[in-house]
Amino acid sequence: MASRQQRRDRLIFLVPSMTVLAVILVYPLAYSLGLSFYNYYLPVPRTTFVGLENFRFILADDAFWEALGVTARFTGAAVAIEVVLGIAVALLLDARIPCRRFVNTVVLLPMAITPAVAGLLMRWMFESNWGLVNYFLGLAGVRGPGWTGDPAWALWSIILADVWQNTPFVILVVYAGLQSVPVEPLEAAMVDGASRAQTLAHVVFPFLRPLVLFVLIIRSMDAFRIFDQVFVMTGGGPGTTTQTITFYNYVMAFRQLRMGRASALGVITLLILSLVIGAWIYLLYRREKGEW
Amino acid sequence: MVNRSVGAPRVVLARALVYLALLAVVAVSLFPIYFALTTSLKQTRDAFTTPPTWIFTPTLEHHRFIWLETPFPRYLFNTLVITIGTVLLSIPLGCMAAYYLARYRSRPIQVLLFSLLAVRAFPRILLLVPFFLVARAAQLYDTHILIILIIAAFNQPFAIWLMRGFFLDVPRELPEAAMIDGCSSFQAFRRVVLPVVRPGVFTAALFTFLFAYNEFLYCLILTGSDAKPLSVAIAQYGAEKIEYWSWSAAGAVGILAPIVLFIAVMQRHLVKGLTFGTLKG
Repeated sequence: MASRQQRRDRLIFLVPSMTVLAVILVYPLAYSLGLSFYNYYLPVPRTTFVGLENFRFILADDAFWEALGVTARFTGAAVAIEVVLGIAVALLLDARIPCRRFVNTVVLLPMAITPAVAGLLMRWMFESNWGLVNYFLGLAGVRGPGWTGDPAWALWSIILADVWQNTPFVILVVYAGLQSVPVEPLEAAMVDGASRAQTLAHVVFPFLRPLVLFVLIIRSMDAFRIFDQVFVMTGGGPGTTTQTITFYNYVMAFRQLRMGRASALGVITLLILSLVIGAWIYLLYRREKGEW
Repeated sequence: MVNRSVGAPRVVLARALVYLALLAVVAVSLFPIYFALTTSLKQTRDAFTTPPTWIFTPTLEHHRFIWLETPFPRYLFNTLVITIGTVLLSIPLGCMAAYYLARYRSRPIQVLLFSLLAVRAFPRILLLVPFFLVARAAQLYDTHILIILIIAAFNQPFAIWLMRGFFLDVPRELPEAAMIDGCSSFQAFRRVVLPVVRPGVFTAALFTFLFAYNEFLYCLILTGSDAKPLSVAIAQYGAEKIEYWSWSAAGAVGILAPIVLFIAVMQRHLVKGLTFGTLKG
């Protein structure tokens, strides 16, 4: 159906980019799928076909379920805090404030920082002896916990670090949304004598809804595969209390050197992620079909 | 309206609370960076005390050490090669693909566009094992080109979605007129359309730069002594001696400086770039 012109354009413009994508992403993906059916221990240069054995192993593996739980708790807590806090700060920024450009820039800064370096900064903040979080808690009369070294608090250190780094993304999107709230309904609400709270609840929030859903999905996807900050802040510890799925996958592949098994874990992660995200998108967008 | 309400005590109070809250947000955002900066400038004995030393005699010793007596300049060089290489590979490819995807409409093109979005959700760790094995077999392990290819590929969806938004704003008649005047399809793109979307290319390039600059996981596994970038070097920097903390603070500040500059420059373009260009649909 495509015209000659279009076919030629496709070859010139689209094919180079798609070739890179295919070679770098699609081919290794296929390789990984294949490898997940093999037993491949890196030091032994021989692979043996084991069928679904790797999958069976992982599904019976306590560490896998623990990592899944850690990842779910991390994602749930971090994203929930970020969305609520982000909306609140975006509303604050929307008020008439002095030095708006400076404030906006500063508030967005953390999201641009190298995640590994952000993790480092946060490790210093949460250091239990001379870290500033505990110092300020001390000033408020609270004896701070051991944070990254305390099994009960280590995950919270990473959650709070993630909140520091990624709340700006929520702020950014919601703030951008607030700038484009249509004027007419706002004026109508004002004329009708609606309070600020009523205007927010009945005019602004319904308008923001799709944006918030978008942010929720993007943030969940990113939080689900967190690695850099875990690597830098806790290394998955103490014990395995902050070992997320991605981190466990890394351990399996590059410390235990179980390449086939690690591939299987990757495939399982992909399946879980597709299912969860798919179901979520379906549920969230069901009511506003076509409103992508 | 503002003038009338300034006098009302309740409004003044509300205003004060808003400012106070914003002040807290600004302080929390900046504090870790401020802390890294001051730590890098403190004598080590002043750096790790309780209560913290707020007033101190600054020293550039740690910065001098990290940039003159460790391999950090080498890591900086690697970071620069990787980031610049990624931009040079990724942006032309992404622009061309985006141009095609903005110019033509069809069902398969829609599907392709949304499949590209799925790359963002992709568990990257899944590709780490094949990358590692293939890289070793192809003798590409610990080379810049390997990292550049990988980051450029992962960056394609971003570059394509962002640039497509800009190309959609270009009237279709523009390249068509150029082609009637005898330009080839590619010449029309290169000489007529591309100059119009230059701000978009600039935004895409800077964000691609940032993306490559911040990459960690793939660099951690796929580079060794030859191609290791700053992000990995700083994370692996040892902590056996207390001085290491001062040194890593100096290293961290060195890595942060370009980012702070970036944010200051990009203020206007932040929304478009950081939201993956998807808001526009």
